[in-house]
Amino acid sequence: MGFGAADDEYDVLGIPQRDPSTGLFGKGDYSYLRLKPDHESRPLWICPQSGHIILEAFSPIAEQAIDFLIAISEPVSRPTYIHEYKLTPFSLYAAVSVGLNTNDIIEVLNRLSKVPVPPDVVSVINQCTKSYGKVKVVLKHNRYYVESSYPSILQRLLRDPVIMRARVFPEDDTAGTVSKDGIITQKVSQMDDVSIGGLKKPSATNERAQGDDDTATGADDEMGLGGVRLDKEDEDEDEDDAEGIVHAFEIGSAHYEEVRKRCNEIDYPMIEEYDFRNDRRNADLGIDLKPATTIRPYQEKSLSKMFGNGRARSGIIVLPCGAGKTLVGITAACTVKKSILCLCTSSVSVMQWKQQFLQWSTIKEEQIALFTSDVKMRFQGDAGLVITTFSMVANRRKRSHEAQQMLDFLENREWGMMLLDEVHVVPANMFRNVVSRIAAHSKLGLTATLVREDDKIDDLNFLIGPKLYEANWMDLANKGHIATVQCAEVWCEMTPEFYKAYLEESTRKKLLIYVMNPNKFRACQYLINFHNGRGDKIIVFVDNVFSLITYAKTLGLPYIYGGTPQRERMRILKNFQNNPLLNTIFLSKVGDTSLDLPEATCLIQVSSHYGSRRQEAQRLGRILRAKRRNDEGFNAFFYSLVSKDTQEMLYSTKRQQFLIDQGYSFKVITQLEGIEDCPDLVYGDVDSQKKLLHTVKMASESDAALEKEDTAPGGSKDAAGGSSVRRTTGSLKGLSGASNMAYMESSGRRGAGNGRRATNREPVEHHPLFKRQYYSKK
Amino acid sequence: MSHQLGSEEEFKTTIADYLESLPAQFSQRVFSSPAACLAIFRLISTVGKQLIMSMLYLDTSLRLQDVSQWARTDCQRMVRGKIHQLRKLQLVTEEHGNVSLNPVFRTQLRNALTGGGDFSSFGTPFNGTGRDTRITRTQLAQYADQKWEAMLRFMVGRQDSSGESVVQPPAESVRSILRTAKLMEDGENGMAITNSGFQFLLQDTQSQVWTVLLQYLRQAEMQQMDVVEVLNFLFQLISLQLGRAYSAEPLTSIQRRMLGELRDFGLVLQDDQRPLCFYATHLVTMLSSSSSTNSGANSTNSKDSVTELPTSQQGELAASSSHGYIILETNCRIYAYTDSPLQIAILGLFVRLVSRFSNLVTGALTRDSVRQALSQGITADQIITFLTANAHPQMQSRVPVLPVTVTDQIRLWEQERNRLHPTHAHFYKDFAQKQDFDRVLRYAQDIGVVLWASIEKRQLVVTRQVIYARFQRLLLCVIRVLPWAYRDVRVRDLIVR
Repeated sequence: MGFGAADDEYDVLGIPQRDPSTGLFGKGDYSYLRLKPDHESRPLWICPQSGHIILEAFSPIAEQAIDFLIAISEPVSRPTYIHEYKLTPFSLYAAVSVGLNTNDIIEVLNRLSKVPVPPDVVSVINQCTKSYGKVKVVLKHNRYYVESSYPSILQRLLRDPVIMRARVFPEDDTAGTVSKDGIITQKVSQMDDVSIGGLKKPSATNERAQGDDDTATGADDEMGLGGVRLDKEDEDEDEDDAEGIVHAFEIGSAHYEEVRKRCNEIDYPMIEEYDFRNDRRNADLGIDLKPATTIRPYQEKSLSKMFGNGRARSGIIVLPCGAGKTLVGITAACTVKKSILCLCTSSVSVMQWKQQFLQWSTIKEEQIALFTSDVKMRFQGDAGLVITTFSMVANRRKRSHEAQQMLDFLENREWGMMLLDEVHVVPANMFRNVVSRIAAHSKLGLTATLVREDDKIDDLNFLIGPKLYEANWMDLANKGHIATVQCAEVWCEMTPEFYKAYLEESTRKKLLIYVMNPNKFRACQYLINFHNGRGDKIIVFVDNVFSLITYAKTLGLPYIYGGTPQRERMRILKNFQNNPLLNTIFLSKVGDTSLDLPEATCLIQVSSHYGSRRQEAQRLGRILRAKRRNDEGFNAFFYSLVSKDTQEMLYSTKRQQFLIDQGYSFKVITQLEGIEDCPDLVYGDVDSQKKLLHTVKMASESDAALEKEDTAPGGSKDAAGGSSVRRTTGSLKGLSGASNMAYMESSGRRGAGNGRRATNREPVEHHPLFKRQYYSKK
Repeated sequence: MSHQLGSEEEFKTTIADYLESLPAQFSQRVFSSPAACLAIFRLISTVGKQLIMSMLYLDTSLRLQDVSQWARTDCQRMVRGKIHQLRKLQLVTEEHGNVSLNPVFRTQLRNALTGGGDFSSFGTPFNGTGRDTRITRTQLAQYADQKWEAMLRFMVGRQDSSGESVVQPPAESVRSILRTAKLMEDGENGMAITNSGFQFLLQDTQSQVWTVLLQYLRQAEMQQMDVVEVLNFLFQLISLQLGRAYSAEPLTSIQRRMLGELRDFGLVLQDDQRPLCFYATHLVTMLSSSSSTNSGANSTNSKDSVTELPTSQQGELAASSSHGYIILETNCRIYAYTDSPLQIAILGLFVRLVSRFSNLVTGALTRDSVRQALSQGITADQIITFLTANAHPQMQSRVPVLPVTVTDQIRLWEQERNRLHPTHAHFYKDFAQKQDFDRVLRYAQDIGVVLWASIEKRQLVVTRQVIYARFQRLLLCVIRVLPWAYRDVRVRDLIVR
């Protein structure tokens, strides 16, 4: 299915306009679509073929339209005036899973559109929504039921041999009516008795503004339907009646995987839902949000998509860094109130999650169990919370006795919900591994940037579930939930000597040369001095370890990279947070994600991972949660230093694309004002520059690489002798991230390293075997 | 409505400049026509009009001091300035501190206002019948807009995939004006738009018509036509009534020729069946009235003016929509609310067009699209001014109107084209002996003039500086054979620095 156009359909719409501009647009000429007479009061256009939607964000009804569009389509770009969205099969799948049906989608689209919804778009919507989401798999009393509002679809499924085999016939005590052919018919649970995270308890509501409360109840009601409520008509009632009744049949739990797979194959993908309130078999977990905890409107909105019909839907929630993803996860946990398994990327974030759970919810310390390479504990009682890392669970290597016991413990239980933090970084195979071995009723993925330079994002759709909600960065910034950021790209002229060397050196040394460009050095120092003077706390990111150390040592500032021992790290970070004399730290890639430093207000990026859009966004995220963000006129600063006339320029443009599409804009600074007047900057004279160049030239090739374990597909150095060469022979396209030179995968492996960097200095703690196994599978 | 580039005022002063440059006897002849006097009167500023009206029925001269007394003290300086301007236009004469209106101008302006004198200068109505019903105002507007747009579209000039020009080229007279005005020039593939041509496209219609008419005057001069007759006829056209048929019978041969040529621009319409009958279109009649700018702006918006007569209300509506239809986003995307092929073609000069709906065009500013425009001589500033002038009302409220990052980017794209600075240098080659070369090279290095040298090839490039003369002399002394062995080359100093 896709947006292939059938040309003959266009005649229905009108005669193509012929004028001298015809032909300028090629296939993009949609002027044959007749405008509706009252098109001015409608906010959007729909492109046939591509399924793009262009929205006037300044329209009076734009907000409702955006709510609706975000439910049915993927945002492409969201700057100030005109937004673009795109209908994709996955986005429509997600729309269906939050409860929209085909007619709603087409009808609301038509109501909002200036032009009639093109026939091919209608047929794609029909095609995608007809089968998607009509079938649900529900775990009830620990039995799997295949459920649908449409008996005919169930009949259709039952005719399938694989599914037929998996079928279990109902016993007499089943609730609801059982028809001749064994399909159970029931009234569906009513929507309105959902309570998200106990928010409706009086103790909690007292703390919250009345207005918030309204949106809370309103959100449940309106969720998903978004624009349908825009100008509500009678027809809704009939649909409600029809949806009030569900039909189901039971399948044996042994066949669960098999049936799911089969359903995907025959184009009836199943939505996973968890009726947690009627789950009597699994023990409840006494957990609630603390009365003082408030959640923000957008967090609530995202959760209402998850718990819209009183059950927990599996899916992914996308919120910018610093917008409180953790709290969304915790609130979801408080809503489900069953045993929770929380997976994060590193042991540092394991600690952070634990701390956050204790801070926001009423969970008791003994109910939380951690499972990392250092700590292995269990919770007390029947239900509890386990926080661990992806790699701890996914690792299939022979484990220590203790770890093995812990794993058995995890695998032999049923989990109410699986929380997956930073879900974008984890490679699909690792997921499959985790997801298939651990039985969880529902899964919630959290991420800031659902982009990957490879196309593995699609895998997440089926492994976890559809994207339930994606927040608008600019919108949150305008409302003060995240800091407003001034982004700038600083162009640093290469010095003649360095440029000459740049042209002469091998590809991988080039990187080192443009990173070590003395002018970049000076610009960096200048910016540090400047922002120090303003009282900012500065993080400098240098990906390349050799440069990181040179920069930090030359400027006499502390640095953290993969090889820095845990204790040293904590000492530096503590100092940075509390010591007024230490305002600048240098970080390598380790600081990209899950590092919570609300003090930081300024970020300087000296070198980065080629064209990774995600890294750029993640790094920006480091300053979005700035503590001071609500000060009057506060701005955080994000500088990206780029050596002029080098490959870096190309990468830089590519990296920024994601943020630019979110509405951020990068100001290009070609000349830092006053840099000439700063006599005490380093490398001011040609001699010292030449000396620097000499050091750079003397540096070994391996120094030129980005941090070792992040790039070599083989993981440890000895495991992949030849890979160091392979690393740089990728095409330009590959290097810029277009092919699957997957930055996120390496980050995943960093997670696999359990937060401990596996550089050559530090022996790889475990898993060359695992890695080889993983990569050989690819 | 604000005037941005090439404002009305500016262009009126250009026609004023032209009048100023006329010798006295020429202007007397121009003034001998009541129509010309009235047209000129309408073209000058309000204060100027006020001054002329005050003096029109005075037969004696006034003391300059008294005239300046008419104004408030803080404005007297301005009034004197105006008097000076009027004097330069030879409308006012000044003698011994006394001012009076030019007698010919005074008489004929009086005639124009009271309906006396040679009234044929206001055109002779065809057959004497009042309003002609055979050609309506709507048809006139349609005709004029079509002709004018055809010219503009020809200027934007686009070729389709087959290499054929999509736009029908306008008449030779039009092309020749465009050529002599340097709005277009002859290139390899026919005529191509020039830098000033692009500027021209960005102006409002009134300014564009003035530019063309002035060029027509200059060309008439070159062709030894009687400028006064040409001028008088132009002023006559300006004064004609819209929608009324006029007779070409009383016209001189020069004027009839003009009629034929101006027809190609859509300024006048000649009835095919009645060759001696002509109409003036709104393109010329609007020139003398400032309020008619609206219907002028209308012409770019073909839809409205084609279907219906531009009544004043509709004119305003059209003006507001044609003023501000472009939205430029921070991600360099462009959304233009337009269906005009001309506007689309203009955008196409520097925008990568992506898709089109009945009332919207989407595209993006890309490095390639902007560079292509730059390579055609369009400057970054012109693009920015155009986008600012036509920014959608939603954007107008912002300061600055366009996102700074995008304007910066456009300028950076322009700058990156200008990174090579050719400088003169000298290239020496064919050194007979190695030690000769070494000595020269060593010397050149000592005085620091070496740009590039190759010891293997025995070639050397040195800068051209003051010391160069000394270097030459030394070269001559050191190696006797060299003077003929060098030639000038232009060295690109990008990498060799």
